[in-house]
Amino acid sequence: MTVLSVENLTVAIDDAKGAEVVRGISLEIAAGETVCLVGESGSGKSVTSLAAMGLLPKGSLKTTSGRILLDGEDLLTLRPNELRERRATRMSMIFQEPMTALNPVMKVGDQILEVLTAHTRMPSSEAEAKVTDILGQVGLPDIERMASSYPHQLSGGQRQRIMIAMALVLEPRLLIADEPTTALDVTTQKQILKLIKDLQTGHGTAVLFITHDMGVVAEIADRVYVMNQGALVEDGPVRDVMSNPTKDYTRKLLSSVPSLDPRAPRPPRSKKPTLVVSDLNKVYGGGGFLKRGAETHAVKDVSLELMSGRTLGVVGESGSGKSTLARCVMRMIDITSGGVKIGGQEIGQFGRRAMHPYRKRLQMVFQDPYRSLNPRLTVEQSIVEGPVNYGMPRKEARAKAAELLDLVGLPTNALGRYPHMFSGGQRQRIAVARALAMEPELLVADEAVSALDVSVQAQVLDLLDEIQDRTGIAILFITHDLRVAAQVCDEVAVMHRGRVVEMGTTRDVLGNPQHEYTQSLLAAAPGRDWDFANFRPVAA
Amino acid sequence: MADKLIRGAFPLSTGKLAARVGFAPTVSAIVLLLIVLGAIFAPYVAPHDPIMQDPTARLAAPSAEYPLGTDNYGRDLLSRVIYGARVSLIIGIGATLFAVVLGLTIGLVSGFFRLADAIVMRIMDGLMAIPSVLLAIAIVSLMGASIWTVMAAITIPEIPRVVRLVRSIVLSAREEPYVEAALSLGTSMPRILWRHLMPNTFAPLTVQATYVCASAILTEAILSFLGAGVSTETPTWGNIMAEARLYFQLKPSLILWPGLALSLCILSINLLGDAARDVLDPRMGKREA
Amino acid sequence: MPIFLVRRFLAAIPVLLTVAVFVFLLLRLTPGDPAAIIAGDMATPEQLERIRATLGLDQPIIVQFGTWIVDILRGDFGTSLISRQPVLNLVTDRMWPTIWIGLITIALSVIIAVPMGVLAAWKQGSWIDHLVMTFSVLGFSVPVFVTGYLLITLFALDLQLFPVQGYTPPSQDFGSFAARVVLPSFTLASIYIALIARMTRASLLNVLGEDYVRTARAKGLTERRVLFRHALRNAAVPVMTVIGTGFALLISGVVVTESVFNIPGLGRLTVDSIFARDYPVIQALILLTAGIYVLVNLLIDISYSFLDPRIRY
Repeated sequence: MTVLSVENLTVAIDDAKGAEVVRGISLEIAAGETVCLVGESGSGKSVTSLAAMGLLPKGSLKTTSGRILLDGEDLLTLRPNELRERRATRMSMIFQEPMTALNPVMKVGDQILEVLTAHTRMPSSEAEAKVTDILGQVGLPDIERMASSYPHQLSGGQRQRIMIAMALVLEPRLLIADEPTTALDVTTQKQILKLIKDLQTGHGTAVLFITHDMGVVAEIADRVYVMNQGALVEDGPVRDVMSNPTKDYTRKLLSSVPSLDPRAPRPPRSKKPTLVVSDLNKVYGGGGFLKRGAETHAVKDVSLELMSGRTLGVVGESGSGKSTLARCVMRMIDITSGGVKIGGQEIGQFGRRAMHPYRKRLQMVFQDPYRSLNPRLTVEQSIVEGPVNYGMPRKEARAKAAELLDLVGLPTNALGRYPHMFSGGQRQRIAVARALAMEPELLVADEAVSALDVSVQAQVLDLLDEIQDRTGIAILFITHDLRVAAQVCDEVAVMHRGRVVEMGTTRDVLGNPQHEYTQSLLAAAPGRDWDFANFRPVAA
Repeated sequence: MADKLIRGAFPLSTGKLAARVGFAPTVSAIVLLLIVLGAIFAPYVAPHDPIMQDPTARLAAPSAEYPLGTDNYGRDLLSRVIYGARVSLIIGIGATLFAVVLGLTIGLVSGFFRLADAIVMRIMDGLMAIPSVLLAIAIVSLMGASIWTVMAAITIPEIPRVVRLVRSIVLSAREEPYVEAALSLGTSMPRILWRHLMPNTFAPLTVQATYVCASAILTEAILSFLGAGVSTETPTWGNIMAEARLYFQLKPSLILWPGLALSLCILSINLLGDAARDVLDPRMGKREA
Repeated sequence: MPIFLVRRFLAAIPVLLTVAVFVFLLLRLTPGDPAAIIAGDMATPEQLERIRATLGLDQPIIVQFGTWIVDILRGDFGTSLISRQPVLNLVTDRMWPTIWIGLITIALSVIIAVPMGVLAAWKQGSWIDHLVMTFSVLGFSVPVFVTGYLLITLFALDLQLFPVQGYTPPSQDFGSFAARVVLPSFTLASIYIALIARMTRASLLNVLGEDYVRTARAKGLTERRVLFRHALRNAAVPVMTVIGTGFALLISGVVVTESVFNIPGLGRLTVDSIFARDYPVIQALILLTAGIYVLVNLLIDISYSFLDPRIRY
């Protein structure tokens, strides 16, 4: 039985020009079914879901044509208060960022209770019992304490469970989930996906699941709709689409998903290691006079070695200390104890001045390409800054910038432009060019492709690979994404709570994990049974 | 973004100005321009010498000779109001320049060097805790009233506000990855400050400068009004009103006309500031607190 | 007492100390003999000598500062050079009119300004919004004394609804007190209302764009409930902050308002002392206002932790 049916929906920007961001979308979801709406950023998938809830931001987006039928009733023709009555009772929504989606100054139990008081005339004892019941259903421990907590006192996974409880407490027919696990770690993601699936089976809810992650699609979808730039590309049962995509865009999207199959390690280019980290420790803060605040031991006794021409991956979930490790290696922060050697030179205890000559030997590419380039400097100014600091004549530096731009695959006329004129992927190429201008021996890439769409991600990874081939640079690759790590790293170190729990060649660690934590990480990787690039299940 | 900002701040064609920035800022700009021109060309615009007394026409009603009437010494009110703009504008512009330059320098240093920060911010907190008018009259009464001491007295209480703004911008900007990137490119601290951090302050400072200017003009008027401003012989809006206080019940217009001029002047500057804020940074309301 | 309160109190000490040093140095750093500055041009040598002795100007500067601070901590703010009364008595004699008008002004401002700001944000872009914003920009563009004289002209001279100037203590004649505080309070409130209304609107608009407001709407709550249960409390912190920083404007405004309305409060005492160069009184008044300012902002800081459970010091 069809619960939601969207017919020819068009959403446009609410101004004189009225550019269309969603064009003629049609989709259907039956009771008990999970339908994934998948696409890259700007595909219009979130806008479609907000339109269904009637939550398009007023004054900036509006539906211009089409129908959205919930159990046969067109939501677009309802009056505001009628639409309001449908929310939470017949359709609910959960969002990407569970921290900002919950009211920070209200206890979470009250936030769920509010749904009941707004839509029912339940006596308060009954309502409270119902809140307790739903909190139990979403698998939260110590329900009493949970209900009287504020959002900031809970973990990301717990918050998302609260959101789910809030959405499902009145047993709506339709649940819209907009990237509900994107902000979560993989192990938490796995639990949340399972929770949604379980509750759906129990209540017969129809689920519209919006995601950019093909792995998640493979994990939970019954049927999938692929969107690109506001239009529907292809749809069908998930197995059919993944094993036999009919459209070029879908094929490209699927083949961009990095495989979990680890690469073979490459031979090092020389005997001497480029980077040696020995017994590194980093302790943050701690309390001062009358100041609360515990010390955080972010990195504990970490030792690593990286040869030139090779890539060492540091993988782990948020809070594992991998970014702190990168900053210690870069000497952007002081290290508490231990050593960092670059090309045989110990730099761990160097002060700002002593560090200066060594800075050029290690460079970094940051996660967010929108913030790592100064918006007020042209591409050329950004690239020549480093070489000029180390005494290269400006003219020579400019010629070099042009060369580098060519190397990273951007036209030379990009030199005079500003960062905002480029896409995310292009900016990341510029950032790579800026780092390479210093001719470093070591490149630290801190989640350098995490903010990019998969198709763009693949291109940037190819670029790094090509540069490594040509220059023999060593790369320390920080990532939370096992798929990416499997594709680019010769060796990986798995970090958990500040420690390296397992280290070795990527083939060994990901192919045959020994440590319990690595095993759980691998088990949580969504879509691990599917070989996306070859459109078939992973050969057993 | 940079060129968009510049286009927004300095529209190419004034014909489109009203359409682009709205009605109120356009009118404000015109009013302000009239006040400035009137002040510069006061000798040509004003019908009388502002200090010439006409004993035959004391507290006279408006007439063709004296369009706004005369004060208790028989001086022409209109001429005095026109000349009165001079001191207000000089002090407004002067105090703004000093406060912005000093505030920017102190704020940059304090935002980037932790050691300086602690000391500087305690001093700024202390200055902020003294109400600006109180601080200003205390300074003037001790140092004697001249246009320079008045300007200093008005500038000093404005500095902490600029410092805090600049510092907060620097503190948030230095967390930006592009500053970390510059650090790893071996860029020196002073250069990072100059090239990567300072430009972030320009847009908000432009807005803040208009508010400082308005506030300085207001404080100057209050000082004059309380008798702690520039010499009572100089016609300033505050002085005119101070002298008119005794005759207020007889002739309220003596206070209301200079009051109107003062209010219009401050209002125009504030409206221009709001417009600048809308164009330069729509989210700045947040930072202002 | 929770530890964060202790910390907040301790943090206020350096601020007050800075003010104290500043106030102390103000006189000492001016060129020339402080005693001569205080006494004016017509002073006899005996008068100068007496002033020097009263202020302890014959001692080393550190000793002067030390004695001065210790005296103040004991509640001894010195003696007025003009009336020869202890400064503390002068202040307590004159503080009630100021306290009354201050309290009425704050109450008026919050009661009027917060609903104004809420309404403007709720009906963003409507004529109500424009009206509120117009009033608000007028409020802090028109100087207090202009507002004061405007109100006097309109309501006292033309309509004769209120007395022109002056003050009666409430204990003496409450009717007269009430009639005489209306105009000064509204005059003073005009800036404060403008400031608070503007910040309420800006802060609420900010909050209305947050994700949790979208969540509240997705729950099917009425707009009214979204506004009052979810948005308002989250918007409160910046509003409280502006009430605190605006307090300095209020104090400056008091000085002017009391002059306009001829009210014998602390504002008038300040102006009179400054013209009489009654230095101990000036010092005490600046310290006092700074102390009150710091205290008010301290209370406001503490109120944050009740408004927002995330804020702990």
